Amino acid sequence: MTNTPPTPLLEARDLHVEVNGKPILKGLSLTVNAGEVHAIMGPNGSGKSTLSHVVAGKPGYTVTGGSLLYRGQDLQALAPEERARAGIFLAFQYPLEIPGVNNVYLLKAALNAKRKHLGQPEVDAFEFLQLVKAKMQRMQMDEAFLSRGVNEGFSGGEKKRNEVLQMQILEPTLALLDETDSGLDIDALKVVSAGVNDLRSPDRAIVMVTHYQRLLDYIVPDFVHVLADGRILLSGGKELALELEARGYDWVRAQDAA
Amino acid sequence: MSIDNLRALGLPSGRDEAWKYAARTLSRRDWWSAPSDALSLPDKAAIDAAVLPVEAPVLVFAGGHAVPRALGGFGALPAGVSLRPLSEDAVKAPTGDSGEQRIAAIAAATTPGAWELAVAANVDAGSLQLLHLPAPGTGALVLRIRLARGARLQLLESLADGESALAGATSAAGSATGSAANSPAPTLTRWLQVQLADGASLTHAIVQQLPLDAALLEQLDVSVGRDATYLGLPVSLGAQAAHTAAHLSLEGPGAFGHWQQFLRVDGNQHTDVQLTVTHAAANTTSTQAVRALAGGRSRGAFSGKVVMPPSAHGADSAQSIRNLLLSATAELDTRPQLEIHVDDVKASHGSTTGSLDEQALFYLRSRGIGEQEARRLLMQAFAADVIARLPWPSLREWLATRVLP
Amino acid sequence: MSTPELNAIEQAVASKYRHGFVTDIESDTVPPGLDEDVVRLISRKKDEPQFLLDWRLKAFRHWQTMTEPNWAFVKYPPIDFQSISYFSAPKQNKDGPKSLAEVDPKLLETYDKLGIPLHERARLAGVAVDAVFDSVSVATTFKDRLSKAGVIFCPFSEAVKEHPELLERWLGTVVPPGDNFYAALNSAVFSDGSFVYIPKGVRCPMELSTYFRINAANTGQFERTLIIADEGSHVSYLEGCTAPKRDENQLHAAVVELVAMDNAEIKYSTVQNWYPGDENGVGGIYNFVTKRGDCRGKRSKISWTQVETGSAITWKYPSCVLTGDDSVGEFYSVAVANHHQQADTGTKMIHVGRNTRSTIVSKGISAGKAHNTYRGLVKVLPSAEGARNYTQCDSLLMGPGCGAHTFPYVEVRNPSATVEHEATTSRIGEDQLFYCLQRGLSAEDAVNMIVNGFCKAVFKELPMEFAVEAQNLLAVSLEGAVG
Repeated sequence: MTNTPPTPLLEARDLHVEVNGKPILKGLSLTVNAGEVHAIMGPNGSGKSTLSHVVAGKPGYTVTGGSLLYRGQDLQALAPEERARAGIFLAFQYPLEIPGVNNVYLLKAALNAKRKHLGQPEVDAFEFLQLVKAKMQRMQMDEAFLSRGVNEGFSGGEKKRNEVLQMQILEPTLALLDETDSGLDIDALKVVSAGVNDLRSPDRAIVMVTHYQRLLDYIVPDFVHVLADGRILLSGGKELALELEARGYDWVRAQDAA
Repeated sequence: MSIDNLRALGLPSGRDEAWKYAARTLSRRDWWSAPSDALSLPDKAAIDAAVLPVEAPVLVFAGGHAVPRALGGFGALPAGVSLRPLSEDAVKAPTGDSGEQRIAAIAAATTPGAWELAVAANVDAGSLQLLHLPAPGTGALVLRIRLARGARLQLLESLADGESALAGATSAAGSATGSAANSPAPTLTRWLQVQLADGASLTHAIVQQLPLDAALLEQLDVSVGRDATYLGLPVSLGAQAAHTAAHLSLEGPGAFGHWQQFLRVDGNQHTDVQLTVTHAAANTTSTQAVRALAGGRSRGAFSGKVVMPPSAHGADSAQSIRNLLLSATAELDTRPQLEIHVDDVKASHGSTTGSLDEQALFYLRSRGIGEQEARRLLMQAFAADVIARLPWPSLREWLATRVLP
Repeated sequence: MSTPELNAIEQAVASKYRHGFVTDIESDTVPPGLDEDVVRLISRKKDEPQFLLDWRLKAFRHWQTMTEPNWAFVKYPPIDFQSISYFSAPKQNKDGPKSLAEVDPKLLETYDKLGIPLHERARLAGVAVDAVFDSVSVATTFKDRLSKAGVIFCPFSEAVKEHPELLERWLGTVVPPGDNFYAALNSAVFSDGSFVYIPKGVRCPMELSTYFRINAANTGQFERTLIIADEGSHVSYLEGCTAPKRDENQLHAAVVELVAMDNAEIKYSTVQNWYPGDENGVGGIYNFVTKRGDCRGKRSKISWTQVETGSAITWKYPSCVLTGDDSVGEFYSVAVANHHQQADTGTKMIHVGRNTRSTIVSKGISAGKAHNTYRGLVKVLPSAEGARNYTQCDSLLMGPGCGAHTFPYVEVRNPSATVEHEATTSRIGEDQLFYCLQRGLSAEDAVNMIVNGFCKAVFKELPMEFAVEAQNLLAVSLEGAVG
């Protein structure tokens, strides 16, 4: 970090998190500034998903130590919906099906909630529909999705597209992508990646949690971190991902222990 | 059976399987006083306030009396539809010896007069609203609904809250000192016989929003002829205690019988529904869907029994019951029963009981939707598939705002 | 279904009850009838302490005030409880057998016919057996090995003498004497049964097993089983039942009580093959049984697995009271009813403790003119925070004259509970059957295969040797019963 850093978008310092009484994150530190794209990689069970969930405020995830700040503000004081309105967006690894709650209704309600928070008027219904249709085209989604329940009966790939569609509409400041590449074939991966890349901007940060280097071919990160045993063991540039792909994770642990 | 005999008998206890989950408070009510012969006249404003927002002619009943058109009771009936009084002989009231037929016996013994609503053959009568205003004290309705061959009707029964209607009614009846507040809490006994001839089709919505101190006993005997369709859409919202016994008998080959119920209890409400669907003929189809919500210290129960006797070849039945408990002191009970006496049939049921899906709640909140709003959305979604069956969009919208306890 | 197939089926339905022999042994039988004197006589014959006699008499007096339950989906003529003999024991040397060698060879021969692994076969199979013939426990094998582990496994009458303090502490604590009509009757007149105590931390070194057989005519069998698994212990218990063919109906009213303390686990498996009556519905056992387990301790587990193929009438609901936090109750059942059999069986899962979990898997098969009913209760009390239940209840119909009924009761009083119930009723798939026939299988083999597939989820819960026996029984019970 440079001498006079601006307030980071996200700053975790020695963060400890428990889920159901079980410690998962054990002293994680991470700083994400506006304009940056971070990739967090690591073996199964290392706490990658926990990090994205605790930032989004999932109930049951308890911060037991350290601090977690968003734009300098303690996140723990905020309800999940307040975090969302303040610009945090989590693209879920397993997007939920909510039959009976209409897709577009959710999108519109979410956008209006954010606009209200920002003191803006509700979005015009016609303009909103035009916007959604345009974004859906971008995500190569069928317009039939408009009338269906949230993720109801969607395939795995469709659900992921729907997550990125929501992200495009809500234009978050901090986007967390939890294994967004899992379950996608190569064509879908390209569409989803393009959707995410649309959002790259100097005012915005993207944090991707992923197993595989493959996603990073399409969404090229500025920083790559290795998360294992509940901590960031190693950070580097995008070339680190290639090294991990080639060598696995064990050497990082060995290096850390040494 | 006379009123005195019925009074001596009382209501069946919980040991009677048909009354197992019925509110015990029901037996403390006065079901036995004959309603006064004098018609309590609701005023026009009260009626207007209670009418549900559906484009349809309205018939008004108060405490079981039909309110004449001249008194503002109803508009013109559609062509091919008639309403006429039934003689006591024509009613064919059951003896009431069995717990299953007790309500019909009480209704027949205490009603000020039975009625028949008929639709002539091959007439599509469109929509019709029956508005039932509670009268103070005991009310009893006996109504036969008869659709001739090929007739069609979309019937909306509204059992109104009628706070204002009650006040209006008492003053109209001349009891100057009376008011809704200190008059006896209303009880209403309803016995409906529905007879659908071959090829007839009845959509039968019952929106029950009786006052929260009211008690309701209701028996529905539905007989469905060859290739005829009955679609029952009860929406139970009101009354302190309510017990419904519905018997759906699919008598003609190819008959359809559907029961799509929304049930909501809160506070100290106790509502139970005892539905029996009998596939008496071959190739009959039935579905039952129930969505029940319970908050406060309330109790709700649904028993759905599907009977397929040896004559039910090729019958098909599917049942889906979903219960949502919204408070730690509420209770929801379910009895999804199958009684199958023939092998070339299909029958299934599924029931779930739980609370709102926490994962779904978090998903919505993570998109910026407030917690209360997210809960409301999920509850609406929970009820959506049964509410969607109501054929009047205006009523669906009206209900959407009333799903929350 | 085509006529030739139907004929093959009907021929096969004429299956014979394989265990229908009578053993000619001199019995010591009390004349029919029931009053306080009979209760006293039974207690005296068994040399019981005063507390047990008092307990019996209290139960008897309570029973006299009760009426037979009539809610089950079964029909039978009224039972004359005065025409039943309440005690029948094979006559023995006064001091009783000291070892297997002293047991009447005819008895052993009987068990041989039943395929009970009493002798060397038992050793090979590693099963400790307590065999109850009519009302008296005859022999218990493997005592030494069990006693080394500290496990008590003995006839109930022996437990009365050897471990009265355990009995006094536990008897009737799960099924109180006045629980229901038949439990009260059993409490008054029970003659023998099995007693099991697994001490703290002990994993019972072998499976325990009891075989029950009713032999004498006009005799009721009223055995009582009590199993206590102390903290951290584990036991698997198997129960088998047979009876000779007789034209009159015989009453079997047993009580089984299980108690599991903290971290203890009891697995109770039953293969019930009492004589079901003939193809015209004459004779057969009335099997009116009360089985209940109390998961009293934290993280305890009680698992009931039953394969019910016999009895003219079955009335039985092995249940779990999930008292301890995080305790687990399971019920896996296959019930087969053919000819004129009537089965009304199921379970009750009462969730009391926090995070208690229960699973119910019931597979009912009806053939001939039989009626098969699942009846179950899942009750979640307000205290049962986080309780979970899953119920799967499937019925298979074979033939136009049979019935399959499902009567579940679900009562939930805690919003954090999740309770799910699913049920299906269908007939054996004609397409499946045709497919198998087309591949050259006989109708019987095809049916067996399909039915075994239908029951798989339950069979896999049975101990290995029982699973094989259960599959064979199923095949015999259903030979060709497809319609």
